[in-house]
Amino acid sequence: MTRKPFILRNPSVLVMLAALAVFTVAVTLMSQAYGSGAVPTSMVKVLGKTLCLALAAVAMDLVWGYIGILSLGQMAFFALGGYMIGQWLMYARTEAIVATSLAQAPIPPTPLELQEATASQIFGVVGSSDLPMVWSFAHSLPLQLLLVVAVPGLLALLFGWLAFRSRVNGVYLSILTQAMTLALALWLFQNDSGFRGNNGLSGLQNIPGLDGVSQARLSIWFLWASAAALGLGYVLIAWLVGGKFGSVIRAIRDDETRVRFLGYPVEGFKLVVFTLAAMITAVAGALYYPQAGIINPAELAPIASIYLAVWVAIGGRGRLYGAVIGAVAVSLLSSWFTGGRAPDLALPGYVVKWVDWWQVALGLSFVLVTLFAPRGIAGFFDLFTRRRESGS
Amino acid sequence: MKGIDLGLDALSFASIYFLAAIGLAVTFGVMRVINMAHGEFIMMGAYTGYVVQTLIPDRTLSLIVALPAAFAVTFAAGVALERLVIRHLAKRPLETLLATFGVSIALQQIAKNVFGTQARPLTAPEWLEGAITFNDVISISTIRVAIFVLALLFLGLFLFIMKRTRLGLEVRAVTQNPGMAASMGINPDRIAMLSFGLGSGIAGIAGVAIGLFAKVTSELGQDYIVQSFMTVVVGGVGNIWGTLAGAGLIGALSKIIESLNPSNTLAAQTFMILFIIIFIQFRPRGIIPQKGRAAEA
Repeated sequence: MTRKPFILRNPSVLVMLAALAVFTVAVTLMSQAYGSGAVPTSMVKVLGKTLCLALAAVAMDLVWGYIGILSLGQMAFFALGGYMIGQWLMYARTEAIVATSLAQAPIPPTPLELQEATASQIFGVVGSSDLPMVWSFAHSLPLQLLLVVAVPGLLALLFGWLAFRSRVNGVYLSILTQAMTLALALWLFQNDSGFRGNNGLSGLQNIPGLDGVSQARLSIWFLWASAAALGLGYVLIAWLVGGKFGSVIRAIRDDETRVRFLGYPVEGFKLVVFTLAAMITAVAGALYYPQAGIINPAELAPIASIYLAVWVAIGGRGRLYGAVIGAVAVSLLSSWFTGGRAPDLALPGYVVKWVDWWQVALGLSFVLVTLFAPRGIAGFFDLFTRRRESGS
Repeated sequence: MKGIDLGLDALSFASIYFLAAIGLAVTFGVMRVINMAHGEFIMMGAYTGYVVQTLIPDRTLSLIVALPAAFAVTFAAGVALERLVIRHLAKRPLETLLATFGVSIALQQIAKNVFGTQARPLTAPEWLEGAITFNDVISISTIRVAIFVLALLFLGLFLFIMKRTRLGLEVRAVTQNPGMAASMGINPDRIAMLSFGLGSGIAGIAGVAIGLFAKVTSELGQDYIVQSFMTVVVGGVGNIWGTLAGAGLIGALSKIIESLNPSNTLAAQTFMILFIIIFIQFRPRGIIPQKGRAAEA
């Protein structure tokens, strides 16, 4: 029997890519910059951000749904990616502003003067005027882009190596990952950590060197980039889990000890998957925060990572399209219900204001999903395809 | 002098962690269930204390009423959670974590809707308000002494229940081998329900104690949940002495790191968590690891 090409073996990948393409083209044609203007720029940004969250959810599905590590620290990598790109965005933009203001001076500023002025501009808010060590590469876009994947990747590698080699697993590992993100958040909250404490990095929506481009246009460009990243990440992970590698990691999820006795280096597989997922998540974060415009340590709160796990669980873990569906559906619904635009539900004797009660509904629906539909939304697709197969 | 003061501080910190974690030690240690809503049970206990105080103006009396009331409320909530959710997820511990997280965010929001976002006062009676002063350096507020006493009381009570009562015997049997316990006529479901209720009830009482010195808000539980888990994990699951050791270690450590760099409590917490992450490398099963067949589960 000849092996069918990758795409034919995974029709869901093709469907997902097609849906993504149609969605992107549709939003572009309805945008203010390139089309009819039916979708306002703020909405384009929300959609672009949602695509980034979906990519993070796909990576979460790889670590949780396929190799069985319930990592409650994925948002740490997401935010780190955002911080790394944010450093360049903020530095380069501030430098440009400082350069124009200093250009009026009788003597043109030296590079060192320019750097000092930029640093005091950025760090004045935390009472400092020196450029911290961690900003050494902030002037260079290629270096910071490298750091976007390198820093979270190294963190995941180090943390994973420590955790996996001492065979910490199950709920212990979950708690440990949660502790990791909490530690990182607390460290970033300090004013002298070099990342502006709880002010975070702001003004990220302005891309240096693209001052003439309107936000409407930029938002569409970012939507394209996010869609491309989601598509690439999806195909990469689908290809990875579709092959022999995928069989091994699923086996690790189901019975780690047995796989180890069969001679596979379980820790190595876990480490590769955990690090790769962290890097993909970081790329998603690096695309997310320029659209959000601001990043601060609150983004790393343990609860954010748990939400990511919740999305994957609701969508259906162990299925990549489930992760996408879960992330898109729940995050869009959440922003609609908490945005105050959802109509109030009038019960006899009490009016349910969704702004107040959405969290309750979300929490309870999550309990219901885990209890009654452990396969999540994607489980319904299974019902459909199974029936068709048995019928033919 | 400074050392003694530091030691007293560490002791009171440790007793707070111990109080917050002892309930978890029961649910997590006995049932291997991560209850993310544990922090919210602490919060429920604190709010119960607040409600009782609005009904009974006399503070001493209201505190005496509030402790059993908080226990009753959170015991009921714990039993309900066990029967409705956790029992059905017995074979899926990671999903229990997420389901109880759902309960946790729902409870938090309900508290916010009912009591508002403002912090509610839970005032200590006057005889708890002062401080015991030995000299200029060494002084400790009475309330911290009371919490220490409460923690000791709970340690004693817990040991008594586990070692000297029929319930404790059955709980220990179910922890070690549920199948064998069942064949000896113990109902594991009933034991699971009761121990879960007990752990939650203790969380409620811890909530009243914590509410006496901290602000009662809907996010009260969140501040303690990660530290409580750390305490249990560092100490070793399924062993009350382990929990005590874990609380002592974390309490002492956070005070020592804080005293080295008093201006920066955030850094202290960061370093403490880093220390714990590294500590687990060397003792993945905690200070006092569980032995025997139950340890392999």
